[in-house]
Amino acid sequence: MGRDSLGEFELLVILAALRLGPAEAYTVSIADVIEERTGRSVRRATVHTTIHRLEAKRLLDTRLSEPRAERGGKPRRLVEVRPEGVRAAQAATGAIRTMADGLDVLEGLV
Amino acid sequence: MTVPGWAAALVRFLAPDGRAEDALGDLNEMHARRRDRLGWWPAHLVMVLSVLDMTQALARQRFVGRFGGHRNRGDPFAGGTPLRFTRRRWDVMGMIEGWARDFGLAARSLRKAKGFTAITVGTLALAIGANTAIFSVVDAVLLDPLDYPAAERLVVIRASAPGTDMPPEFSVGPEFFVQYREEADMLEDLGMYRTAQTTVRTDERTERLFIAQATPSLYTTLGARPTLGRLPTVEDARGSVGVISHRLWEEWFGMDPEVIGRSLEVSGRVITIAGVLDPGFRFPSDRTSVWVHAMLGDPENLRPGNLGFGLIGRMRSGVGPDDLATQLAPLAARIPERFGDGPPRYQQIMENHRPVVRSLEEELVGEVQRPLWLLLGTVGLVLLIACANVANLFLVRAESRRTDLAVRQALGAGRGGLIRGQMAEAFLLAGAGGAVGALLAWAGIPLLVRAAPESIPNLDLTRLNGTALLFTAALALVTAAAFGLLPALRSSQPRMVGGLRQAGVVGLGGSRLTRSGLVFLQTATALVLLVGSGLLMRSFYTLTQVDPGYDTADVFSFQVAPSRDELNDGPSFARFHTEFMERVAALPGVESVALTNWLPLDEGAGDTRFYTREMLQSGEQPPIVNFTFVGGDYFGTMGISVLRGRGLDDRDQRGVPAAVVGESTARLLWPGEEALGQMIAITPDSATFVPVVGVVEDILLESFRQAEPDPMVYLPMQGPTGSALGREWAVGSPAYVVKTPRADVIAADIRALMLEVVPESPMYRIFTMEGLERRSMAQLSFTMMMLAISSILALILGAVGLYGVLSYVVSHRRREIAVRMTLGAEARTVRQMVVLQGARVAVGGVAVGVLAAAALARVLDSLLYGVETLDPPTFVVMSALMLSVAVLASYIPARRASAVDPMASLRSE
Repeated sequence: MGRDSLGEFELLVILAALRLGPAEAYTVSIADVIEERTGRSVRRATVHTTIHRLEAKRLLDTRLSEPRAERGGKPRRLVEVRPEGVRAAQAATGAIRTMADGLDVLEGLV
Repeated sequence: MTVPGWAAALVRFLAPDGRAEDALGDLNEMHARRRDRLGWWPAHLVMVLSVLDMTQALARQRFVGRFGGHRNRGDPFAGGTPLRFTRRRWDVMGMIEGWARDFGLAARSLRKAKGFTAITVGTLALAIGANTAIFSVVDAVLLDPLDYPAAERLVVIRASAPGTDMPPEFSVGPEFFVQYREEADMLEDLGMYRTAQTTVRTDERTERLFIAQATPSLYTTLGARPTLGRLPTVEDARGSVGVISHRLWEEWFGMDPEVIGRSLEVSGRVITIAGVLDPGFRFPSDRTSVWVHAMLGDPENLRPGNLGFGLIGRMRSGVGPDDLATQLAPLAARIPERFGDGPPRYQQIMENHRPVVRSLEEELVGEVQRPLWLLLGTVGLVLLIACANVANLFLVRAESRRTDLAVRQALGAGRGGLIRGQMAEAFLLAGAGGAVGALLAWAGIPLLVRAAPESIPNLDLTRLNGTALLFTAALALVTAAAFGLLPALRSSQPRMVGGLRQAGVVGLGGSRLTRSGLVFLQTATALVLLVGSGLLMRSFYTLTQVDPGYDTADVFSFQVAPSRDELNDGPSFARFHTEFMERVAALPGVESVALTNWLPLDEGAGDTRFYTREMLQSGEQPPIVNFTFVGGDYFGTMGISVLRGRGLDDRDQRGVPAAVVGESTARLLWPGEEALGQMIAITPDSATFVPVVGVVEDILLESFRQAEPDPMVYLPMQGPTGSALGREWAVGSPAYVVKTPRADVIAADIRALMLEVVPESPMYRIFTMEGLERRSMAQLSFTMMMLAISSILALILGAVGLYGVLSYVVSHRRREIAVRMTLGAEARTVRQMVVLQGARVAVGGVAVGVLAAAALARVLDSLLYGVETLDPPTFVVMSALMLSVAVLASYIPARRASAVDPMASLRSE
């Protein structure tokens, strides 16, 4: 795979971050969205690592929020997907769509 | 709700720069969420797992990001050259994988060796559990005893007056408080208080409680915060308000927030509850329940000489107790100048006065410090013995696996890999031992707290907390290193390749030496513990043989505090008690009933000066003696023998007072004369003379350890009628003593009777004299019990160790023994040879143990009674015990050796 191609979990994280928007996307909420929509359980530590990796690939930016009481006075690391990230996600979902197109067994799934 | 400190530290340590705080936030948030959903315990369990998960992920990010992973494919900054060297040098992931593989292997091989695993884990769990439990107590009581802000700056201020008849240290009067507070600039704040035990009453309850009268500055000095309501301030009228302890709020008021503003009767005076203090506020003692607002009037009108007040100060930062004492001395010297000279005795005190400043921490835990450290040391020794034992077992296991190890080595396994393989087993075993040990500690701490003496401050705060668990984890790690490393290093030595060729027959010498060394260590350590517990047992026995002057068997005691309008002077109380004593005496199984104002072994007694005729004439200062008021047949009920004259009886109880004195009081007041028929005055005034009508045997008032009995004066419960003295002389809430074989069960009958006769007063301070006796020896008996358990454990572990070594030696010398026996050696000689070998090691261990015990026994000094630290019988008996156990442990392998069938053994070779 090329340098910018996304792993499946990376794709899920980017999509979840896009869904939540830059004010609400952070490790815990991203994990929640993925769990909710895919029905599989997600390790927060994995989300944490993945965000770090995507940031290193310059597909998303992160910044720290104000400290919050419900987090024991700790900030959230808020995630904003960069245009490169959006493009990578488009490319990846596009590839899947193209591949899945016309396969009867997958009808209704993608 | 946040993750514990250890987890936060771990995350901060492992996380790449700037990524720790939000990771911690994630952990906190998830933890709070799970706690709401699952409850406290499950959430904590999952929290530990998710912290581990997170740290592992962070470590991966950090180390892989730096040394391996995608960058290794060709770093742009290194011109696209792979950074291979870093991978070699710092192959963290490789190490982790290697360990993971070894742990997997170790787990599988341990599962196969069930017996070995069970014994090892059991031994370690006992030792680690004991350590964790005692550590938890030490942590609560000694390491973190004061729940006040900047507690290290708090000091207790008292006085000493060497050369006077005052005790070595005593508390001061309000004039010191005023002087120090105004003049001492090293003090940031100063509080004053006085304690008492008194009757506290609400509409529903009456109990005798510990209370304090405290100036408002006491709260500011200690930095107290109310959980509810407010603290008393200088604006409040003296004695009008008070604050209550968190515990009293729970127990009496069910944590009702409406408690503020309710009234409470303390010592017959009604106060309004202004606030509830937080649970950490335990000053001056754990038992203090009510703090009554106290204020000084105009300081310039103070009359000096009224001692008995506690001072607690907060020093400015950078000031030490000695500095403060130096500053206070000249200030105290100026007190008479400002407040007047006071009575003659006070002048004498002031001339010799020296301030005493001691840190609050030392004041609170100074006394229990030594026994607790001692216990921690003791269980530490047990752990040492357990480690030696497990190390021995490990050596055996390594021996039996030499072929296996040699094969691995031949196939190219490095020494590091071989050591790692064995250490993985050690870590697994120690980890399991630690986990089971923590469980044991968790179950054992409540038992320990119940068995421990009540006098230990903050004991009830003992919990198996994060600190204790961290301690356990550290202990397990160190333990694994202690018992695993030596065998691992030995069995991975390069010459082990030879082991393959020799099929594990020879190469025994060095290993046997190691193992004998371990047994030697065990024997010595076990003997130290045995001698220690022997000394304590002798002390305990001697103490139980002490005759305190009264009986403790079959005596039941309780207190009653009637409260009615018609009970308002000495005669009315005396009438009430006389009638009530008759009712109690009529209960089934009661032999006699009496009462006293102060029960021995419970609250001590009042002390004062009684004047003889001669002293009144000459103006000589009488010595201080103890006194108590008694009613009914007190001496008969308590078993205090009347030596001369008579005890107090009805005549004296009807307002014609008389006194009975103890033998040592008689000697003190009338040396060389007959006390009977003498007169003593209660105040320096001949109008208060009462005749001495009897002399009774001496008693030990406070504890059986007292070197000297207390000089006692007994007065009847009713004073002289008509005089001012008689009106004051009222015995309001005495302790009843009941002689009955039903002492353990009679409480219910008496409670029923009280409900009928004195419904306004519940029964309180319920004891049997035997219970009080036990309580007075609690510190000794607790330490003795713990040390005895430890030493028995040590003895067994030591014996098992010795047995193990000899069995091993015998099994390896089979062939030699067989040859000897073929050549005509008798079974007896063979047995002797083996037993002697065991005995040699044991004698060496005992010799070193005796020396070590002699050096260490001094730490027991404060607990011993009637026995020297170097008590020869204890040393001899315990050494003999250790040796006989050693010989016994050697005998079983010896028998096995002598049972060798020479032919069979030789043929099998």
